[in-house]
Amino acid sequence: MTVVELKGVSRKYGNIVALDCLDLVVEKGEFLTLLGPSGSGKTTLLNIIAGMTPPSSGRVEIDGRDVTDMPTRQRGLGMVFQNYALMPHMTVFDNIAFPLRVRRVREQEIRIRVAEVLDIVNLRDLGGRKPRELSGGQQQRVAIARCLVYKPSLILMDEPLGALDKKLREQLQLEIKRLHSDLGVTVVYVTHDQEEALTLSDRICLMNTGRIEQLGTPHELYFAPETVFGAQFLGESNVLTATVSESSSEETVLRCSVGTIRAPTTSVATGAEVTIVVRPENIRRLAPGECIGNELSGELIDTTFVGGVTRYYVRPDNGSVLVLKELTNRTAWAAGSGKVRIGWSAEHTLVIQNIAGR
Amino acid sequence: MSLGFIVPLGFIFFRSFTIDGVFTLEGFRSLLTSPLFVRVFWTTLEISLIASIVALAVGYPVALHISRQSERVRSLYLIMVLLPFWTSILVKSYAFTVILGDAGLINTALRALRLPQFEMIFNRFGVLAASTNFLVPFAVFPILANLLAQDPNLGKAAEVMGAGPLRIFWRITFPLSGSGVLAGFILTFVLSLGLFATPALLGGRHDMMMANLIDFYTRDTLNWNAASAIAVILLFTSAVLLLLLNRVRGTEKFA
Repeated sequence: MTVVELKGVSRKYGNIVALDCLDLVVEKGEFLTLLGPSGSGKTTLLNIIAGMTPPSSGRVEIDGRDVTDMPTRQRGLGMVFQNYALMPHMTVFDNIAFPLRVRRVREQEIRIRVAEVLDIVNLRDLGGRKPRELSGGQQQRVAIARCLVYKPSLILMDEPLGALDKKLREQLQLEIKRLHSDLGVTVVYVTHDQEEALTLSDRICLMNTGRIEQLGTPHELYFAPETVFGAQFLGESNVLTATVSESSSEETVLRCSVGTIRAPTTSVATGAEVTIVVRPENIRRLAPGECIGNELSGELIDTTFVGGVTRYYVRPDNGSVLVLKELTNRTAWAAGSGKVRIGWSAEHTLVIQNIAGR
Repeated sequence: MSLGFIVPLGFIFFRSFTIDGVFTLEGFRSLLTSPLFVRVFWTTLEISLIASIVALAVGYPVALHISRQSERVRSLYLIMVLLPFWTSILVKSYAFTVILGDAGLINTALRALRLPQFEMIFNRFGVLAASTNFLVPFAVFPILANLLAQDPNLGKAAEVMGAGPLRIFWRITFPLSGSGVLAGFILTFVLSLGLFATPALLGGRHDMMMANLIDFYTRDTLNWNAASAIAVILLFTSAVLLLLLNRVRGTEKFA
């Protein structure tokens, strides 16, 4: 069942296009993340779903009803804000009871339902506190409880963990994930943090300059990026430009500044200009004489040791610096090793077609 | 500058506790037992209280409206609030005689329409009208500052949860503006305690305020001891209220 459907939604601010004719469908029970850099239009999109920004053109449907012209308060949504937006003069209990009082629920039932959601977010005994007496993480859990209590069909979250430190953020990510799978709520989540998007989402909608760059599962976005932007925004990438010199049913052979590179078979025509992407974790240090499909020799420029992983920066004989990333082990190359050999297997070469205008 | 303030102030303190250089509490004693002083004191409190409350009642909607404008429109409105604020209170009080007087705008219009006319100057109404007019900007600014400092997401969150504009105002915006209203009240009240020109020009015999009484003692009876004592009482009352205002400001962010 579809919860949200956007049909050709655009938003312009004067001459600036914040959203460019966008279609999107969110299914019931889904966790969809809008991921993108600032200015990519993800918050504008969220505000259009919430009804706080009207679209310049296009239609918005929620639960099968056209709500394009319906005011925010009639849409029956839930929303979690980055700065929590708890009412500072009300207790935790009154904050969570607020949407129920709006709906004229009886006080007796309010007490039961607030206690229920306080239990769900593990804040059982804190109903009498004021928001300022709680930690940031607790405040955000109150804000989430305030959404859950009236069971909206859709919960919008606008960078809800942006104000928290890393440890707390990871803990709350797991908690949000648990709530989502336990309660089966539909969530549209905005973030610019790729790890957060990968951790939480059923699907990620990667946005850039007001358009959907790619829409798919975290797996698809990571292993099969369709654009260079996508490859660079999710995870790290080495990017090279190349020309297809040979294309067969077994493999594709490409020519670029560092030499000949082999990739899995693609539909790209021979002679086409393409971009190739190799993830740093797929490049390996090679022993003398070892062959794994693609080999390069170059100069080791720098080594950084970041605890669990070590990065090597290698400049091939002809071309710009490539990064490779390995789990730290005791056989690490020392800085100043001079000439080294690196390589990756053909299956790890991602070939991305150059699309005009991107 | 501080010398210019402290020396005369010290002089007033000295005068209020001495007669011919001899220490005495006679000034304060005679004031507290003087029916004139007690009446003027209550009149002052009454006018100040009513004028402040009316100024707040007028200023709140103005501040609320200004707080909801775009930045450009807001600065335009602020100029409109500030214009009378920059005008001398003496000029404004005179202007009110033109509007409210027997041959003023309102009564002339009423006469032309063959309606009954009202006496609106040289009485309590005139003093209250002019002093409220003077106080409104002082009520608008602290309230506006408070409203602008409120987190706009609170209103948005309430709206998403289904709350209408009236509920948002009465349950969220207004309770959160309490400290701004209190600050505005103390400010306008303290200012109206010291009103001089307005009651002198627009008031009747029964609308004498503390500052007018000081004027009476210094110029008509030449009782500098009593005049200084009134000044000290006025200063003390204002100081206590302003200290209270400071406390309000200090706790504002936790409101």
